[in-house]
Amino acid sequence: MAYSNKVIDHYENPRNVGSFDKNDPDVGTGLVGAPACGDVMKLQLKIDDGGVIQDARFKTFGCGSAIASSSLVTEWVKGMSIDDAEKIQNSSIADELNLPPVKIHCSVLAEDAIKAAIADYRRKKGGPQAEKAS
Amino acid sequence: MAAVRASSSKSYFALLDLPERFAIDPAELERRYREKSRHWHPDRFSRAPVSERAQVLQRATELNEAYRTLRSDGKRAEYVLRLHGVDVRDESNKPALDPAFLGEILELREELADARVEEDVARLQAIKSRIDAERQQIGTQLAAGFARLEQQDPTALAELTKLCFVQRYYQRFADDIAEHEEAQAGATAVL
Repeated sequence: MAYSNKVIDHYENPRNVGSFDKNDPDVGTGLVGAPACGDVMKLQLKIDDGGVIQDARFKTFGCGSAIASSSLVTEWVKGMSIDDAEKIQNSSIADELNLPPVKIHCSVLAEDAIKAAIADYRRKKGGPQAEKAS
Repeated sequence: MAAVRASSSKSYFALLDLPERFAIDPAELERRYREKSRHWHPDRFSRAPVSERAQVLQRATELNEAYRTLRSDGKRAEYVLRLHGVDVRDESNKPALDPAFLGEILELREELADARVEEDVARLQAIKSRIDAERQQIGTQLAAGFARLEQQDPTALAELTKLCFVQRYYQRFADDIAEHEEAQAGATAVL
């Protein structure tokens, strides 16, 4: 299967690989997995008091499309409010990377990871939406 | 994707004259497979009409697929679940997995990546042993779960589904290790 140039670019030069301290109160961690292929993805967001994402890191063990999807979203979410980041749809990720139908689940994984990271952040802050977000 | 291949109405177990259950005697499976392969070998039908030869070829292909599926504990477990109407290849069946489990997988993956960079053979071996041990334990749990399923335990199906998903992560991990070892062996052989 041929990967698009954008996938290859993110795969060969992944952006924002790494970790933040998961116990930092300003860090939300999302850990998601795709059992069909055994992929695991960790996405971490550093969020300021105004609810704006200052920085993002990821670690993904999976195929090129899963790595590219997570690398792409770390670029996208920087500077976004968590409310906006939460609205990112997997279809935008898949479109941007030209993912073939069999790899759509990789973009779903990235979307789930953003939502999980924000839910974790809200839980830490004990906000009113903490319950809803989980 | 259809739950079971439509080309033959027989299950993989039936193709090999085995009872439809997870518990299997590997030697018996081997024996049946050899017997059937001999019977359906295309060479035996070289003078048959074209249509018959095509059918024989299809039978032989199905037989191989049945054997490959039933030989592996993980694949056999997934297959038996499919016969019970649960397709674990369908992500919408995905049960909620314990986040601690995903964390553990991620940590192991990181450890594996580090050990490879450092070419730490002892550590690589330790990771491999740990994965093997986990898989063995899952194998035992699968056997116990399927035994309960046969006794109509209503909770068994959900538990087995979850186990099959968990099993996939370790399977993938083991495949990755095996591929890497092969690549390494290949590289050494070239030298």
